[in-house]
Amino acid sequence: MGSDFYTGSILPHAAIIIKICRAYTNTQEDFEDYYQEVCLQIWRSRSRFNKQCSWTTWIYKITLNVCLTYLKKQSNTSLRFTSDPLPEQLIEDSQVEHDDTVHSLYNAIHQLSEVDRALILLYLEQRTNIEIAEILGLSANNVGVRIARIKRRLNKILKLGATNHE
Amino acid sequence: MSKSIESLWQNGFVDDMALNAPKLNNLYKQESQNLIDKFESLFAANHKGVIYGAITICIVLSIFGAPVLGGLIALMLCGLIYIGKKQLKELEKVDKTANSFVYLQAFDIWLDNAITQYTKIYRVFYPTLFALCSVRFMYSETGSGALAEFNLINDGQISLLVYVAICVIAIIISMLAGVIYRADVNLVYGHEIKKLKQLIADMREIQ
Repeated sequence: MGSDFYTGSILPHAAIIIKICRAYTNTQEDFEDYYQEVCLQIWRSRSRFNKQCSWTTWIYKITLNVCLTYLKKQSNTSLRFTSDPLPEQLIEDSQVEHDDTVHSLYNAIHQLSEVDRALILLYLEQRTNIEIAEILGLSANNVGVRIARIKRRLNKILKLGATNHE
Repeated sequence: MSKSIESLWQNGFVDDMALNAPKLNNLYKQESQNLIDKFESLFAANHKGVIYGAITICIVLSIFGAPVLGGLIALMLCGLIYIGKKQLKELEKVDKTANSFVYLQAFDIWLDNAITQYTKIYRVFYPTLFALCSVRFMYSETGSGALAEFNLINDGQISLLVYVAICVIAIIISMLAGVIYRADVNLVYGHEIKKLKQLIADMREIQ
């Protein structure tokens, strides 16, 4: 990868990639692998960028598509998609963010399905329902309904977590 | 816990630029772990293997006095290569930059087509291979001797029973080939395929 392309076109948007990759990984090692894969795919696909959407939207699309179809290397024979929960290790080892509030929120997000994770991440990143629908290929109306449901679920998880903490 | 999830997120990432991106190591030389890329490299490796296999079989069987059988098997393998290349071209059309639903669905359709097509091919390929090898063996010196020992050659004619037996075994192989191929795919990629179907079903609910 040309370092100019990375520093000029990817690095300014690294926060997007970091936040999404964290929601789909459990360990620092996995997180770095996902981040690397996303950068690789952005670089490989750069000629397909046709300016029909913004560069940011395009990065969201690739990052989510990569996270949804990433094959995690296993020590045993078969290849597996990343499995769901337990972000603890990632959060504790992470070099990217150590905020407690984000920690608890990521804990809750990890309990959602992969599609719900994508929806809520885009929502928290202040994407409109239309933008979310465009990135994921869904209906904007149904996106709104589903996000409301996810938010209720997240609040419930967070409240439960807070109660257990007390 | 009174803060909204929106404020938790906003307060957690006050300054996006402060997030440290991980260092990239030798990115250009990294092997992709993307599911589609994995299938692409698997197909490419299979092509090479089949090409080398076809050449080797052709040469070895010619040396051992069965050039026609070698040629026929190589021809069948060429058919596999042709179909594999067509599948690979279709796979390359799956766009990783499309929206997630289109991307996942395109890959799912490709996967279903590829599995169905290969199941059909193997149902014909393996029994044909078995029949060709059996017929060649029957007409070889060793084969004729063996058949004669079991009284399966009368007046220089091979008994109909032998042909029936070959047909029955070929049919059994044909039935098993499809089942074995699907079981093999499920063993290696079953988890990924299930996950893919789940993702699509989940997205379809929000359509």
